Amino acid sequence: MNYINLIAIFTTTVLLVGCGGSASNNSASPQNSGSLTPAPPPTNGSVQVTGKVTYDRVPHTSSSGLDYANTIEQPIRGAVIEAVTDSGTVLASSVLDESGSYVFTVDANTEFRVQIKSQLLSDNTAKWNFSVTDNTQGNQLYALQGSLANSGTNDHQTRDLHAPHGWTGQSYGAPRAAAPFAILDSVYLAAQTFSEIDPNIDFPELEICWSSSNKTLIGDKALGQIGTSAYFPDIEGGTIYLLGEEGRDTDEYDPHVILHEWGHYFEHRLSRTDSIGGLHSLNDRLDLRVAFSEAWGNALSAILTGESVYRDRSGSNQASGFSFDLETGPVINPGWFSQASIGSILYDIFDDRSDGADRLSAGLAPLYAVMRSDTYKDAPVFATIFSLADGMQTAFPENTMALTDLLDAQSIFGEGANGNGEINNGAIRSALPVYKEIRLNGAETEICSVDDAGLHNKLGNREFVFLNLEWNTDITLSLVKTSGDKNRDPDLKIWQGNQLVHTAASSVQGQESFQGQLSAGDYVIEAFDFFNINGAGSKRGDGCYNVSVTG
Amino acid sequence: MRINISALAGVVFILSSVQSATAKDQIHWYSAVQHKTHANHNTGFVKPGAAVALSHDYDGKTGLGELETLSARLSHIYQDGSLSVALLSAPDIQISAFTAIQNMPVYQGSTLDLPIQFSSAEPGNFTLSLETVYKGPDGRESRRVLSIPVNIGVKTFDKSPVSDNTELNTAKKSGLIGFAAIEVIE
Repeated sequence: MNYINLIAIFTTTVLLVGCGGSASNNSASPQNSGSLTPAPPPTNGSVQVTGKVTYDRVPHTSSSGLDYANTIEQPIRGAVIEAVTDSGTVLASSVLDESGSYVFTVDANTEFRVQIKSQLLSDNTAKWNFSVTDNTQGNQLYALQGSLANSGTNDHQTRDLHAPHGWTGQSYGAPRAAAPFAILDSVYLAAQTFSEIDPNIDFPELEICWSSSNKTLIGDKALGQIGTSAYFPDIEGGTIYLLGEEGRDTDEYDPHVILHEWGHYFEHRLSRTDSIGGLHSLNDRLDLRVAFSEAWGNALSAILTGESVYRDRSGSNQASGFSFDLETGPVINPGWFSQASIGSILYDIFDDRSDGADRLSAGLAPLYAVMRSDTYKDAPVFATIFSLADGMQTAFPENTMALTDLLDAQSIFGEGANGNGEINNGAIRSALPVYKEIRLNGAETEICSVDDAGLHNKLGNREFVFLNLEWNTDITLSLVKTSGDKNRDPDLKIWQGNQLVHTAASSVQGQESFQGQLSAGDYVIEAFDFFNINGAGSKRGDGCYNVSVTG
Repeated sequence: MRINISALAGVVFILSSVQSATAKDQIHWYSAVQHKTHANHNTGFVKPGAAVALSHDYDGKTGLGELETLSARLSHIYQDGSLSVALLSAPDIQISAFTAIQNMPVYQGSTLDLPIQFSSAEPGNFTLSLETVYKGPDGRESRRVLSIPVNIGVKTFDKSPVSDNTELNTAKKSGLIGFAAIEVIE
């Protein structure tokens, strides 16, 4: 990863600083200006250069599609700006302020160009390094580049730069210069919002891969075959890929999509996620880990944009799309397995509008506090609506009644981080209790894997069994089929917190086992049928198994 | 490469009716599966949209002018609601047969087989895209575009660069991809 060393910048011969000096008298955030030295006044033989940098923001129509006719110019905020020579030597570097403005002083009669990198950088109390790169071209950064021009001999020079969207009426007939900066602006919004809540936040580095060649094909990402826009936690410690293929699906002007995926980055790198990802839609009955993670992405996108209606544009001429309202949309199959239910709850916790069961107006800070807490991150059970609600009720007891009302309104009744006492099974009988329990050398417990709600990441595909070991123990953990056809192939995973400590995935039909030592502590056993997780359809089916732990 | 996309809603002729599929040879699943290997689902934390997966039996090669027939299969997780499907293709691809789907009721476990017949006189790597729209019983829509790589001529998609931008330097972030700004200097 390319990380600019700001210290080195000041060894250059030309000093380039952010606009406006101190945070008290300019619109730039402290995060953007705090690491910079004050701009020296022009001296004999030097020229003060100022300017503003903007990009085309293409809004959405009220119904569907991108509205090129009403494109607006918006400032590029927080991006790295450089003065470079014809040979590419960087004379100096800084970041654009909140209004997209900059000011610097250069020597008179100096040939240089201004370029803005597709990178947000903050080296102040709040730290971040977010970049947009082209995965089809060696993950290089994009740069908006001005012309090579002489600074002249006057005291002052202005250079304003603009990144156009490239739409020429029927197609993208010109380079899509605005796209990387439109993406960055959504990320800037997120970084700024969270840095206001936590001025010392230190965001792990994040690369966002966008290309006009990023297609809805699954294959080699270096060829643009990314499948869809997604966050991939296993790539470079976490990478977002965004679609860019004209006429099929483009996401650079879909802030909700960008921030939804950024929300996955947030929970993965700054909080905790146990989601297994995969396809999902609003009314699905999902694995509870997936439901919470996707709901968080949806809610965060609405919170950060200030628009409760999630919008995603696609299709020919980017004229189609779909949307849903986290605030008012009806929820089919409400419950702890529904991203629609949970998204509504999270948004209602935040928003300042009281409606229906919503009497909470707590803002984003309490959600942030809980999701960053060690209690939440280190819990023995998964990150779900139950652990979030439990954390909220513990940290902010004054909100307990109002939060309970929100949960009840979405048919979520379980208590505590493990959803104890939940009565809503989503029409899948085996889905309750949320966590079953088993004791060492205790009675067997039955779990099932069913495909009623779909495959891979749906409610009922997997069941979870809580196990506590008081001391280090050599155990034998067994699954033995009690019902189901001959194809049934149980597998299991053993989790300690969100660390996967063991997997047993033999091809033996009807049974599975693990033998080994587990240290003292709390575990969650995830049990499932292989063909309900990986199956293409032919061998999917319902099966139940007795679970035993001896040792 | 700039591709002008046109939605192909018209039907030239119907290859076969839409029906639940039987197992086929050479099915290329989006969720390709081998026993006890990591499933190639649309992995990662994907954006919201219709929960529809695509498989097909295209062998990856089509000769210039050859009339090619493939079968695309859409599988989904829905128990109710309806599905609509349109085909999006490049203008260099001539579609001889495709039946667009309009609000077809779906039920648990059902799949859609969509025969597509096409040809092209232009060599290159193209995509056939299925634009799927799921409408739930509450009337709310969600969408997802799913694509099949189509290779006309000798090259296969996997070995050909997708981008029209020449890869100047493959070292990670070793350079910059420049966009010319509209600039005013005063």
